[in-house]
Amino acid sequence: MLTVSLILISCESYLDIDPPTNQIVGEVVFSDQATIEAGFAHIYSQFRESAFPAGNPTGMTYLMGMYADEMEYAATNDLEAKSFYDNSLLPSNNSVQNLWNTGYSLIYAANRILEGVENSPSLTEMDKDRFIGEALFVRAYIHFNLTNLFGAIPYITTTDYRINMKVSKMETAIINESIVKDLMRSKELIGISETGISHFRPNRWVVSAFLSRVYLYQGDWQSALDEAQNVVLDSGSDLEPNLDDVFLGNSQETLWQLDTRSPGTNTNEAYHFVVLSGPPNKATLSQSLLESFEEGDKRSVSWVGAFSNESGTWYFPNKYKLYLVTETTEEYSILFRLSEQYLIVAEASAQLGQIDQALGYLNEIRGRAGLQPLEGLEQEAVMEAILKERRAELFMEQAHRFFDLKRTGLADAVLSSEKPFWEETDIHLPIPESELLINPNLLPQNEGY
Amino acid sequence: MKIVSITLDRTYLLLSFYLFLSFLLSEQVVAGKLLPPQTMVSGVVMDTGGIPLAGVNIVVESTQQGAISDFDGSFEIVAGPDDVLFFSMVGFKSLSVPILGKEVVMVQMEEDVTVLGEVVLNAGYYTVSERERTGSIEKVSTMDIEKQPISNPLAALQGRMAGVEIQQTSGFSGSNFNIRIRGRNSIRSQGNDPLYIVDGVPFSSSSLGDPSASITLPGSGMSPLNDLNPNDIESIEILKDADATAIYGSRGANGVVLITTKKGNHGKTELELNMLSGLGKVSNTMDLMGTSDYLAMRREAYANDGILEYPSNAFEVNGTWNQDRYTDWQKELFGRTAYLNTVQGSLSGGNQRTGFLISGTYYGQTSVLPKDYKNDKISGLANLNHTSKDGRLELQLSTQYVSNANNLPGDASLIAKAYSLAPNAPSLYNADGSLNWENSTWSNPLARLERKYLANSSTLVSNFHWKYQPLRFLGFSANMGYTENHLKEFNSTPSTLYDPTFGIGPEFSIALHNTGKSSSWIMEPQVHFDVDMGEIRLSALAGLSFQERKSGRKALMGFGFSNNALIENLAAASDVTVRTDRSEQYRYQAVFGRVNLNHKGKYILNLTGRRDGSSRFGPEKRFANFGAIGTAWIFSEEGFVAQWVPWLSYGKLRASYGTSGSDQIGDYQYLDTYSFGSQQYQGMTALYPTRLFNPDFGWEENRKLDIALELGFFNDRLLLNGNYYRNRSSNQLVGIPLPATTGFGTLQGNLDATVENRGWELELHSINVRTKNFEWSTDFNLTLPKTRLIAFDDLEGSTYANQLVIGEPLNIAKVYGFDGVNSQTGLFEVIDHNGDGTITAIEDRQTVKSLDPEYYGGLDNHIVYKRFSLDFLFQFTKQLGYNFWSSAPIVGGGSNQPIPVLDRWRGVGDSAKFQKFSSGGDPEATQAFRNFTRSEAVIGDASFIRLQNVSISYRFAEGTPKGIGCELFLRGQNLWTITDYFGPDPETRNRQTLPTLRFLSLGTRLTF
Repeated sequence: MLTVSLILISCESYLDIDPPTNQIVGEVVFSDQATIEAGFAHIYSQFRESAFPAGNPTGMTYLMGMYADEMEYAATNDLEAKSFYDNSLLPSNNSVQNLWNTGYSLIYAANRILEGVENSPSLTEMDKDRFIGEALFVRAYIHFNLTNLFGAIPYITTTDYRINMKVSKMETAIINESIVKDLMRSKELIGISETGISHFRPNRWVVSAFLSRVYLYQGDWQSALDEAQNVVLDSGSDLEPNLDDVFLGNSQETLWQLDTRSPGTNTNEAYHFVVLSGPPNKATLSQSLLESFEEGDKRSVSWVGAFSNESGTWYFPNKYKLYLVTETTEEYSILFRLSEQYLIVAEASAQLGQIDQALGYLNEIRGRAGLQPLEGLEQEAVMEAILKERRAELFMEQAHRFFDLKRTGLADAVLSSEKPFWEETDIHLPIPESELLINPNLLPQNEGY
Repeated sequence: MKIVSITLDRTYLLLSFYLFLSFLLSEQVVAGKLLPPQTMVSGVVMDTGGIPLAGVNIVVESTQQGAISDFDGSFEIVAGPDDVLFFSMVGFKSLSVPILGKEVVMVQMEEDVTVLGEVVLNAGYYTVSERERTGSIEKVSTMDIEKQPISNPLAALQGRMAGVEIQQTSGFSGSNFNIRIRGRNSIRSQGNDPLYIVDGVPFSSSSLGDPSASITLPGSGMSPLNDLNPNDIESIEILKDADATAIYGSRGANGVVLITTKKGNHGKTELELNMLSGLGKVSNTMDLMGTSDYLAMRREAYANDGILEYPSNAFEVNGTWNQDRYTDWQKELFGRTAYLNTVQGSLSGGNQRTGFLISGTYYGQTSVLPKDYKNDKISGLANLNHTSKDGRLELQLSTQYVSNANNLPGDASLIAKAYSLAPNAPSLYNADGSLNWENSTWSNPLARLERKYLANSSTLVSNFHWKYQPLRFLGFSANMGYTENHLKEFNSTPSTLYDPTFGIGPEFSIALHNTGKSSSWIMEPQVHFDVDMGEIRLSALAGLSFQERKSGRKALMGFGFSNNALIENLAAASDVTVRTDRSEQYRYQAVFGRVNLNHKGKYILNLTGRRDGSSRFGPEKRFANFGAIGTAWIFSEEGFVAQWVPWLSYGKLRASYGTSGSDQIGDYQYLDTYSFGSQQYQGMTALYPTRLFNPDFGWEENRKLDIALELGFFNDRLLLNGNYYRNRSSNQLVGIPLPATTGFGTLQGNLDATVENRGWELELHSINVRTKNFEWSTDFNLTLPKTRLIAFDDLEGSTYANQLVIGEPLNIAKVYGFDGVNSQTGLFEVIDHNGDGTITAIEDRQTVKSLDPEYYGGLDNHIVYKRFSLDFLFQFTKQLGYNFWSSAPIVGGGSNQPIPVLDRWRGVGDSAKFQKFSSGGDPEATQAFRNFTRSEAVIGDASFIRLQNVSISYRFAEGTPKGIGCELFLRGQNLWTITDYFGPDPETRNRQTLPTLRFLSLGTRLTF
């Protein structure tokens, strides 16, 4: 027995094994700038492939396009997409669950970066600031979109799962406050330059552009105006005069776009939206959208594609045109572009009574689209024109249409005539059923589900 | 005077000399006679059939001289003419034969009828006789295994062992078998595998597969257990209770499966050839609607939804497709016959001290799908054993190697399509033989078979065992083993899968390559101590165990090829990403021991214990102790019992209690780490947080109690066993489900919860008839298991609040109560449990249905008449399970449905079983149907009685000792099922995969 115990004691260290080769311990990740960049690479690549900004059918461009009045369902057996089109979502819907889950998983990743960076002993102040700024922007950006989809949601600022598993929903007002707070701090820290001129990472102008959008949604017209004008005048970006150039990779209008998964591949949007056979097997642009274009609007030609055969003609969003692999990537998914800022300036100005300024910015956009400038309109008419312009300019991009209808309170009026199954309570998506089952603090479920 | 003293001295001398001698001779004097002359007595030992018996122990009773009979039954021993020779051998009745002055003694030994007799069980580190064991151990030997034409050894155990539940998950070759030994102990579904040991070497059952590669197989991917050859297995023992498993410590909580391969014969060199050929087909098809019923259903569905003009994509009903066509899709897509072939050759032989066995087997099986899929398995076994001349040193070396190539479709979507395709869907091929896409109106199901899945795996298990016995009571041994397992998988998604009119060319083809390797070695030095102290026999052992396992796998995905012919070559891909690149190391060490005290073969006490350390746990919680106590009282040996109840030939009462643990939680789970993902951004590979950190978790602990009564009647011709067990598993190691707001779906941690498994196991072995030419014996086993969650701190506040219920089994479904079809609305109704007017999952899914079996068992009959023998095994179980409706598409939508849906609601006031047909265009009907698929209506009776195995054989010629032995047999597997289950197969209970196949095969065995 003595020999046995001797052997055992001397072999205790036998159980100490090397760390795994495919994982890195947290401490190591946050001591080096390159690994933190890789952490951001994860967040942005998920934005591109699986979370709400994605251009494939898991993303809100497609889903909310179906949900509102931008797309018509054309598949035969895709019950998920059909339930969006019919506004008859069940809390068990997988796409809804995916939007929620991917959102919060990336919020965790951002929070982890924030905590890791703040405690890191070996980063430079400049790097620290940049990372903190970028992580705060990401956190605010995800929460903003989640709250616009789901209504009241929890705002997560820590990685401590013991808190996060019992968290409850917060009022929209508090969420907005938190978003603005994060963005203000982000703007200070994030810095002007970023890696290369290809706009793959958010910088100070992107934060401003986003802030202007947030203020606009909140109704804080002056702040929205200030931020948007700042971006328009000082960011160095300009409107592309030619519509066909707006969505190209080297467009000067882009503020932030997502890099593709490999050199030569293009956007998910093009791959999924371009119709190559008829009848189409996914979705087409809705009649109401096609009819909403004014006569002579060049966007209805440049940004709308058509496919015809003997059975008929079908239209699809064609802002992104390249659906095949090309020698080098030519199109990237754009999340923030300057035109939106122009329209924000226009809308904010109109709300503040500055009609001339409003019309000035509005007409720039109209002019680019080959439309006549508008003049001598009253405030209400200007507002209407701006909203119409947003529809024509921002269709099938990042759920702008649905969010516009929602924030202006026009959702019911417009959608109940368009969509036979639309109900008032459809304004919010249901909180995923599985989430409520695990965390009862998230009850009650959104109305109508 | 001088003369007198000399005479007196001589007398004294003679007297003393005589007296002295008399002492020497007194032995003979007392015995009555002098020892007669000893001669060499020879003879032959045979069994009652005249077959010579080798290896029989012969002892001269008076001198204790010993000898062993040779392979031809002959022996030679020195003995006197009046001596008595004592003959003994395992499986035969011992015999005393007086020599009676003969020089040649011919002896016939009778087979020992009792099953117990001296049957020896492998208990892992020691062996114990069936009679004297204190633990709960089940055994299946090669006699039963070889009767089944199977590929995975677990299939041989179905219906044969009490307390062991085995389920085949699909009819695809290479699919997993789920095994539960005395129920599920862990709340975590992946923490319930038993410990597998092959020839003393732990065999990992965790898959090296990539989940995206092997999606055709339900469950967790290609299991390494497919790489064992049932034909090479001598016996499989399963250890169930604490007495048997505590010596395996932290890994024995879910039971231990010991697999022992065949060893060499110590006899004449013998060549055996086995050949088998068989046919297989799917065991069951569903009765689906024909074209006219289907089209009528669709029209009615659209009418019900108020849709007057059929949508452009409702091809089957809007005139695009021919409405007179009919295809039986089940027959078309999985109705072919599968072929099965096995060829095995083995060579064995040796002399009294050395034996060897070399065997090679080929197994091949094709598929029932309309493409040439094949599963080929080649295995080789070499076993060598040797005992030294003085019997002190024993060596054993065994090696087996299996190479398995499996070719399956890339995904199983074809199966679900067979059940749902419209009966008038277009033909599969055009006139010119190309795939018909019918102008892009459908997705041709055969195109799914363009996806390929190829898996090549190979496994090596080698073991070296030596034992040295320097003294009668002391021995040393060591067990050293090495295993290696390789897996290579390939899964392709070529662009030819899509309709060519979409113009999706090979630049969209995807290929996934996965390579995995794991190797492990084990070393277990032991010391044995066996002392016979008269009335008490003491057996003890102590040992150390060291094990290391290294495993790793790489999965690469290639995207974009210039030509689909190059799809298997990654160098031809335009873009290669690394999906996974991982390697893991696991180290384990332990000290264990056993003390067994046996008093007169009547009272037995067995103590076992182990102290384990594992690298899987955080530094704070590395070591733990386990132990068990087992006792047995063979009361049939007691005087008063033999007197009062003479027809009770065997009676034993045994009990055991002890602890064991579970460490099946994967490696490195306590570390806080980041992992590399498969996506790229700006040329960087994504790095993401792997898990939430928790360094403090510990072992799952399992306490087992076992009580049994074993009885034998009529000289052990009838054996009855009744066994009660109660296992409690606490400190559950769980992936605790978390809400997505935490950023993750799970956290590894210990849950303050206790799961109890208790039940009854009944076994009956009966030799009904035994005459010279006819024998019939029956084996019956029945298990009544109960699994319950008996404690869970703060269940309502935990993340399991809506999944588990205290007092109910773990495997439950919480579903809506079902209220049938509302005769006014024609829709399915589920019960509003809390009466709040709306149907919500949380409030209303409160009906609890247990999916665990209520009871299960098997009945095996063995009949021999002269040269014929017939065996048939029935397996039965009573349980509930998800039926064909649980993932059904809406009735009336574009999917075919089974005939019972014709009993549907048609108008107000109708009472029907099914709701009104709806095409999916009515959200209320869609919601009602969705609720139906989550209600108790989709959990039905899945009980069945299945004729699991039938084997009929005829022995043409006997073979040994001279001539060719020949046996012809007909074997069937899964031939007939009696069930009320509504679905393809009550065993798989899954309509997304192939139902189990039934096989009938014919074969022959030749021995030379």
